Amino acid sequence: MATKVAIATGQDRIQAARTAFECLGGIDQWVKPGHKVLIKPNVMTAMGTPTVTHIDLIKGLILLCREAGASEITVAENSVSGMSPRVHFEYAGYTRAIEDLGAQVYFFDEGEWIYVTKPDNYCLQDMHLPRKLMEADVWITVPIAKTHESTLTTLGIKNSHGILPDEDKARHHRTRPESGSSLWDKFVDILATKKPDLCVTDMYEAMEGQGPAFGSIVNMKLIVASSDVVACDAVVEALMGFDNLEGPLTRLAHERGLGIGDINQIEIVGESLSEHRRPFARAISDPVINCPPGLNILRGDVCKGGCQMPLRYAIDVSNIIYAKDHQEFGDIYILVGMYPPPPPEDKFVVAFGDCAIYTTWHYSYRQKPKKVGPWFSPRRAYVDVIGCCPLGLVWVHELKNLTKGYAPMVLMAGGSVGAFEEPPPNFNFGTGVPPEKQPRRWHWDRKFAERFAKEIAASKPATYIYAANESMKGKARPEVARNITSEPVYVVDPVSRGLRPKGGVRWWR
Amino acid sequence: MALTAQPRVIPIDEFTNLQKVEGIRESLEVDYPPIEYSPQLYEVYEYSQEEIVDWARRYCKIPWTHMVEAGRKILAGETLSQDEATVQIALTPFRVDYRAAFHLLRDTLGLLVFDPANLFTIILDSRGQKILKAYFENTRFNNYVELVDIDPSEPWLQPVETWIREGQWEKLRPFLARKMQEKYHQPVNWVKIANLNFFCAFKEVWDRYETTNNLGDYLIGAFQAIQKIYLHQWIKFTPTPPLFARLEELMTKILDIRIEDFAAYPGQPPSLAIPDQTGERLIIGLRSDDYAVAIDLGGPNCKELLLSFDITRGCQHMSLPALAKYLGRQAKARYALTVDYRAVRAILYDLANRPLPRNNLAVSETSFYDILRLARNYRRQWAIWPVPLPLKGWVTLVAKLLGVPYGIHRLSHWFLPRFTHRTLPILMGYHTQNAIFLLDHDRPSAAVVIDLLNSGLKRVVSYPAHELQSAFKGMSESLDDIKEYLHRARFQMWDRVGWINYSVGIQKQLIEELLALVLGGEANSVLRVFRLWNRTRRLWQLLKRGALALYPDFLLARLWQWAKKEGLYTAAMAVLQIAFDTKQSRGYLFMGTLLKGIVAAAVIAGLIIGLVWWL
Repeated sequence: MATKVAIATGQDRIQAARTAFECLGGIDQWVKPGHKVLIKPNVMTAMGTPTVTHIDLIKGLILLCREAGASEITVAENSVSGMSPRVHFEYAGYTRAIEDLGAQVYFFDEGEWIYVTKPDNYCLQDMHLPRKLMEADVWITVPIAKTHESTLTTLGIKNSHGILPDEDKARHHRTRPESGSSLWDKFVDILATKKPDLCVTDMYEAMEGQGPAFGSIVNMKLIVASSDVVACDAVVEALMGFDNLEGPLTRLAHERGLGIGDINQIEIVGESLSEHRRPFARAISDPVINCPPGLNILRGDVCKGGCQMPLRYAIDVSNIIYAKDHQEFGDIYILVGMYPPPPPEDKFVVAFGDCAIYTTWHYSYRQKPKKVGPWFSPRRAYVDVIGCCPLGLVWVHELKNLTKGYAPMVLMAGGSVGAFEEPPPNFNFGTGVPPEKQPRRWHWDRKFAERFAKEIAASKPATYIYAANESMKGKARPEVARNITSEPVYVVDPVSRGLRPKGGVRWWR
Repeated sequence: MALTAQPRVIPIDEFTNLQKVEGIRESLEVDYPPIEYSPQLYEVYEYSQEEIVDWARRYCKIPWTHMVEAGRKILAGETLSQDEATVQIALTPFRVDYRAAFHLLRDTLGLLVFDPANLFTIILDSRGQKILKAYFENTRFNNYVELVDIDPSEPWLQPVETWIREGQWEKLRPFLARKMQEKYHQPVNWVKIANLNFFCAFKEVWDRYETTNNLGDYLIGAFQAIQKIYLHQWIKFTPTPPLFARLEELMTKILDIRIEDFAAYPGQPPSLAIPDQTGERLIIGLRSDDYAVAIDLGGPNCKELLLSFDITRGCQHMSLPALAKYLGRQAKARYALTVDYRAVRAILYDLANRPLPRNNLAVSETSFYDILRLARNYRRQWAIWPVPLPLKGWVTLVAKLLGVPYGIHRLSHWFLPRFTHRTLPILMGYHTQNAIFLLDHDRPSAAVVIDLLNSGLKRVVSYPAHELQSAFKGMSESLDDIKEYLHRARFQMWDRVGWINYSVGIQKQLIEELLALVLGGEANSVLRVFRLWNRTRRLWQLLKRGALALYPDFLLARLWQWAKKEGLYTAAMAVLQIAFDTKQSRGYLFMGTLLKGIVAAAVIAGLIIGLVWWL
């Protein structure tokens, strides 16, 4: 029997969800009297619809499950980058509303975890899963349909990333096959370890363009539901105008036999796919494209799903706010990836990600940094955004402190981040991850780190590419490397131990 | 005058000749099911034809004729007496001084409709089948100077009647233009066809107004009447004037605003205890190249909208601040606001001619840009008297010396629209429904649901406040308690209007206090600032008691915590830096050269000495 996927519409999400399950033959096929049901929406950020799942759909599912006789209905969400879901639920006012509907709200990051191993997974062979989820009789994943700049779309399979603790989310968040990391495979690994029983995708108001956070709203008025999360994702991708098996997660999951991702093998019930199909604008993943004036990206070898992703978010935010800071503060140069070209001298620099930090430590911006601030308290004008990839937001605080009084928008952005994330003094996204699980050897092997940095200095001298250094364009400047007066000293492993000295992230001194 | 006939509310299905209305109703059910629309939108009238024709003659034709006569005399160079110049605006209780209105019409009418705006008016019976009256209205310098009564039984009007019946509107203007050219040697640029129900709608409002004599009631009633007229198409223009067509396109195709969404439920609007400011008025002065006129918005029963032209004769060469001061003093007004009418015309011209933005985000952003651009042109395009402290020149100077990034001329009009319109949807949601409750202690006086899409207004619907009485009953005056009750109210409204993202509760007392603050004029003079203390303290106490409550207020609360942690000064400076374009500067007293510092210190010392001496 072919996998069934229901496409339903209605006057609101509640009605559409009801219609979808009527098309599938009723929710009581999965939810039996006395069952414990866990609903996992996508409320991963303090933003409104269509960035997060609309509460009307959650309400519709709660009502359906209650009618089916579920004894306990839980709506659960997890932290993202150290930001508590409790904050996001409070922000949207979901907590009280869900409790008033007779369901309970649960936050994975405040509960217990079960250590699970799955040796035949491609890259994530062990992980922690929430006990609450493992004990639930029925797990309903409720994503919202959005485009995504790393995975084309973010739907049911991608929503499963939200069941991992932050430490596990940080692992393999890059695409470096040589080091055994692949972000796409990691998502499918999670699906292979734990599959949701039902997937109900909120496509009533979807997001196109610069998803998953900065896109545009698309009024689709659809709810798509299935017991096969891969098939559900495939149908939603088809509705979004993408080709069959074009979505990398759907394709990988289909190839690994975790569900039906081929649209030709799926039975669609309810509304017609062709009638509602419309082309969605894709998200731009390249951080250089559509970058606001004044932000200069110096790109080395960047991995997709790694630094490219959070940097793209930063660029999207900058597109809204940076014009003001550009006027008040001036240009900023962002180094990203391995061996990026050096920035012009005497400029403000952000080294984004471990690759950029470690492969540019001998550049002049670091050895003879520009100074900002008053004469009696000058501060070095560069910021290290640590992590691989740097999903944490602690660097925003550092940037804010460094540019205080000059860049009001960065200050406000720091305030917004501070409103949701109260970082402890030594906070880092990777805090608690054992050193041996850190992706790069330099995180935990001091001698390796020193040698690595020296070798880079010797073998990869800085090469200028800018008009400001026209006479030097294309020429190496080995004297910059030779003039280094102090040897790099590895202070401490800040990522795993959280012993970062007060006053900012300093890896080298 | 008592009502001669009450409107009869009939079910939509019985409504004859109204397929369009049924269509509207149908689309409402599909797209916006939760709100039950007021049945008042679908009523018909039982006034007799003679009664309505008589009423229309008295309240529409006679005032209009009076106005045409005044216009003709002004153009003929005759001097009008005050009685002759004061004309009533048709269908409204407002009167204007036509000597002033003449100039405004001369500058604006061509922009609003056609240039020249020669018009052929046809009045139909209530079924829209038969021509009852016909007029040709001739203009000179965009002022109507001639009203020609045309016999509806004229044989040449027969095809017009047929075309109207058949809906062949496009044939009307060419035919009538040719006829008028033959008869009066004048062109006709547009044709107005009004159903007798058009007058019925206004008569109903007028009758109510004569009973209550309350202008607020009249304005709300007039809005409802316009809603009905628009929905039923009781008036039609052919061809549609470009500005009307543009507005309609903007509203329906881009903003997706539908007039039927602005449903007002029956009942009195909430009344506010506005402090007694008898005799105090707000005057708006409009100055153009060769004239200046003043609009009087003073007092609850003010009907003289346009002040006598005499008050502004010879004022057209005054600067806007000087004109504001002159008007304020002459009219003994509390406030006088003057605007360069050329800027208003430019906005109207843009509205009629520039390409429409592609979506409502762009519309909203562009409008905000226009407003900010006008605001930053203080003294050049607008002025106010008495000048509030934040706009006084010396305040800006002191701010500059101290390095505070502030100055109305430096308002960041290029950045703020983009910033607010891109940030708010991300933070609040691209599509949100927000409720505003006007509270009188624990009783809701009014409730409005505002639907925002991409920061642009999508629809506004009032919610029956009496249905929320139980949700707010027993609410105490504490902020936390009020937030709890706001949650209850939105939970109660969830099934009917959908999820309310944000609820705002405003106590009536807060609005009254704010009005008193504005009308009191304490913020206009440095000498009165000390009197502000009591008012500010009362306002603060009201706010602490939850006079303004937002639910959920998580973001605001956390941002406030963050601002306190960061330092209120730093946070305030950042906000000012965002709102005003000021290059990084610590002020002349802090970071400038020694010479600048000495000069600045001397200026401040001089100001202090001057102030002390003055006191």
